[in-house]
Amino acid sequence: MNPELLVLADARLPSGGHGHSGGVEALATRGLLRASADLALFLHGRLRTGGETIAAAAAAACLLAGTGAPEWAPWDAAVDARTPSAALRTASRGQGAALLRTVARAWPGPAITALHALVRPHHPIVLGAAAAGASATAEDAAALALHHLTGGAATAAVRLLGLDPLAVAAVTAELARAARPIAASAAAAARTAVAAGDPALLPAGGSPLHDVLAQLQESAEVTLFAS
Amino acid sequence: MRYGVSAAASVQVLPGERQRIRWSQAWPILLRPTGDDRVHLVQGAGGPLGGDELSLTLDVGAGARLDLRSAAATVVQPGADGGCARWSVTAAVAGCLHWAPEPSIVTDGAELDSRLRIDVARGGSAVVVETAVLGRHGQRGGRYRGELVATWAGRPLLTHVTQLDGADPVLSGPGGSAGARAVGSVLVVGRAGGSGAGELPGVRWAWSPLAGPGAVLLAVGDPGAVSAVLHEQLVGLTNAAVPAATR
Repeated sequence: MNPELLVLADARLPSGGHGHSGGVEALATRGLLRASADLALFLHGRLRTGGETIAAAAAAACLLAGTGAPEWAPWDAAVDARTPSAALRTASRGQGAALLRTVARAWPGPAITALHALVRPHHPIVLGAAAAGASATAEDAAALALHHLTGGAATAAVRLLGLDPLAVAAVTAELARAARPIAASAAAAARTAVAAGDPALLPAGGSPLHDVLAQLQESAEVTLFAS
Repeated sequence: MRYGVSAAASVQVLPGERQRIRWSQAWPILLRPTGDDRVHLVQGAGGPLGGDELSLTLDVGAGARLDLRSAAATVVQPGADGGCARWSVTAAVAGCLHWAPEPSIVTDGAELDSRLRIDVARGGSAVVVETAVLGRHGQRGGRYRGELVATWAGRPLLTHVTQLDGADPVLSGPGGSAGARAVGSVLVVGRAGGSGAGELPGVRWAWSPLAGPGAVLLAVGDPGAVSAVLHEQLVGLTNAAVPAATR
């Protein structure tokens, strides 16, 4: 095991993720997510839709960062195109900028320096580049992105719904098992896209309801989480 | 009973003082011009069925306008040998495209793979409607995969894959469609889209600007309520049909 990846996966690493529920708050407010079984079903769906998309973006960023100082803009734009909801683009860029401040100190290098040209790069791009700095594989970077997705939502579900933390821990362990083949397929797709130099080859799965709820959440007057 | 068919049809609109529409049809995709700038798509057979591979190519030249509609909902049924029905639309738009087909209904046991690629040139504009419905009334529905790729001036604007499956508890759960039977979208490229979001009995919808000149409306819910939202928002767009300043 690579100990540096534990640091990068640790929720205590300053990365701005605490302000986001990964869609849990909008579902919980509407009674669409009430119990830990709902959380598991929700996150299995996220892994198979938007999860693979962000995992592949992180894996691609990890592979690109290994080449020195890549031209990030087309890969960052690919995340934009795969995120129909403006609220979710803002959330991803906000968390990317926050993580970039941390990783610029923790894993400095030419790839991270080049990311500053984007001003507010998307979160999976920064995460993948940081993972490369921590000697991760593309599969590791994809798994980190999925871990971030499920971990943030699970923490938010405990806070919002008062779910049993032990039940939620079991859910997150089950999701980690489900994430393994998705991380592998995301990394494989990322290798193909990076080898071809074509971000259009990255997976593009998403969920329309997730996007609609993110837009509704942004326009709601009182929420605990930004997204 | 019939086995899978392959068919490719195309529509080309040439600008001019009186614009000309050229088309080639291929059974079961039949095309009927119904106005100077309007063409109706008619499915010449029940289906599509699993195993069918149907495609349509659209080319709208600078200064030209095409209003493409379908005569009826597309009802996707399982084929004789099972398998997936494939439907692909590729559009190159330098003029103005309005593509508003009736919903695609994926019946129990059927599978539809829908691909829509639209490349809009600088100065061109497009409004593209898509509605996928899982099953007829009382059915939970088959499997749907819808890929939407839109570029503007050669740059990616939207790349999105939606998967629906009425028989899959994960895809019909809260991380998927949350039990909704219909997903509708209106993609607007190269001109101003709508704004706002709402929740009504049976439907949740929202507009979102894209990271470029365009916007998308997404609506998820009951088939009738989704159609009503799309209709209302399209009327709003038409009434505000002043081309947006594009970069």
